[in-house]
Amino acid sequence: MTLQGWALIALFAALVGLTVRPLGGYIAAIFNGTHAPPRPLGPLERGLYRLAGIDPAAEQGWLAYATALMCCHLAGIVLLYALQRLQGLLPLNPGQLSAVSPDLALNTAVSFATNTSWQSYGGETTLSYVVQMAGITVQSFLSVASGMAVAIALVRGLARRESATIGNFWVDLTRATLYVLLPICSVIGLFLVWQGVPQTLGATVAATTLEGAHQLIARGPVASQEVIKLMSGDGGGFFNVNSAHPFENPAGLTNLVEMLLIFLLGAALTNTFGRMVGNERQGWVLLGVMAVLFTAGIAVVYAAEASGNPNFAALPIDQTAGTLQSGGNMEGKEVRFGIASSSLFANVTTDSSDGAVNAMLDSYAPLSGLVLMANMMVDEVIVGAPGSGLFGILLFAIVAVFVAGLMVGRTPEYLGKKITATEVKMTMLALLAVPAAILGLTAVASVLPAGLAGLSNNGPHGFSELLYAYTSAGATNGSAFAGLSANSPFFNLSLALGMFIGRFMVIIPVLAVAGSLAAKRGVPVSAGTLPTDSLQFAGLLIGTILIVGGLTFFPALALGPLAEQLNAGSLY
Amino acid sequence: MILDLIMVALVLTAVAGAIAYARACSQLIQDDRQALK
Repeated sequence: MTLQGWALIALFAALVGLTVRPLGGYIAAIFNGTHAPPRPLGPLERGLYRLAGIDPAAEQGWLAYATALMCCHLAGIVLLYALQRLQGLLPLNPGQLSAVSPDLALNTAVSFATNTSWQSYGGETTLSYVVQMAGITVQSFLSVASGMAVAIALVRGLARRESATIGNFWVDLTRATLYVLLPICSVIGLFLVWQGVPQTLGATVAATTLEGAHQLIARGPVASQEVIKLMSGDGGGFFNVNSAHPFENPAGLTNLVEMLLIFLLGAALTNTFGRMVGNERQGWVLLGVMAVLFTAGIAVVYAAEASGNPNFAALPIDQTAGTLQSGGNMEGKEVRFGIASSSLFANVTTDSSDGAVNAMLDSYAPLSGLVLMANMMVDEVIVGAPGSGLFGILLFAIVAVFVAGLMVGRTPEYLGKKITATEVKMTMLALLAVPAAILGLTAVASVLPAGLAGLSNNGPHGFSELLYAYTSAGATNGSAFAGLSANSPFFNLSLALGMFIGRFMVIIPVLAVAGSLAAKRGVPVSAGTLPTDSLQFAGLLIGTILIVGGLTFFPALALGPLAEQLNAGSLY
Repeated sequence: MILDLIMVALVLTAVAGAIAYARACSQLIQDDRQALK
């Protein structure tokens, strides 16, 4: 590890911290309707409602909210599926790419509608520009906007008293897209173009290399997809190697900006939460918990990667950092990014549900792989995707106050609401959906020939490849461990099922909790109320997250990355 | 074409299942409220 590496990590954390309050306040004002819509977006918003026949003043109960969300994503899945199947007949297809196979098209459609962006394909060789722009990019916007809408609905449920409604899904979706996502994407998109990211409808370029070889250089409308790819928690790259490709991530500066984009909204939403419930400290506590878990993760991964490959210890290989080499485990990493930046990116992307990568995770040390999987397995509450990270950690907060209530024999309360059996049942349904999808599907794939056929490694590493794939799907992350040949009907369909469960079987109980809490009257703070804006509660929340995640997934992790690390003969 | 119909049917079934799941959650909440009265 180097001082420069830690300085980069500290700079990144500081920059994220600086954006939390202003952006969180802006988002709160947008969803509270207290921020005057900027021109020309205000008239555009009203025009969209008129066009769709939506009364923005008409709020919905949680069931109507959930039904609207499901209808929205049903349309998104069908549209993206149709675009892929018909791409051979559609314009903006200079590579003359043919229709995507049905199972791959379904996997991709579900993947982007669920904010996962698992990719069983290479973007530049599979999808035409019209599918990338009108399909992938549009779903990236809609999936993150709906995640933010769900989180805001849950916060309203906590903030409101004796209310039958939690907001209007269509209004929340529109406001998130128009006032939060589009402005940021427009500005940062231009920045990326300035830094060298292509934005063109021109075809692949044929080039002759210095050695005289012929090479096809893929390009396309990359910059417009790149920003929402990162900011949405989606992570689906235009190119197969994602942010390791110089056209997606050309330089150290873009690498830093890309990591910031991944955490930008998820971190800011904690402040939005604090403001909407009338106590910003509540939001800082959640952000503090995320920061502690993030720091622990990056410390382990950076140390593991910087210490190099233990299998090389007996060989005449110098793995120490020096002026001429970065040292450590550089397999699968871009030389221009190095150990610290790659380790940070991998942590950020698995903490956040984004799934973009700037290095190949299959080549990370097993201990790093364990941490990256664990980041996703704790329901991606370490910042998380915009919206899903916030409602995920709020679910754990409900479990934490419930556990605290059990310990003192008192009905648990959170933010002035009594937490009763209904909320605990719904919370557990949401929290169990992801492990059920991950562990159930991994178990099935581990014994079926169709699952084993995709592996390129045996033993613990092969198991890690399977576990990582279903973890990535179930936690709606989308990053790939690599090494798994996932473009087969079995993997395409089973991963699609994992993504569907991991997204919607969580969102529905979350909205049920929101509706149930909104209907309750408030209870006054008393001497017996557990203060949830304290360090004590932060510690309880960290313990709850680690124990629930640890107890659920430790056996699977022991069979995969932990066994592999111990086989290597050393923990570091 | 048949595969396309199967895929669309799978999606419709999954979404219908999710909405039915939401309704079951709603019923559970109502049952809990009744039990508390």
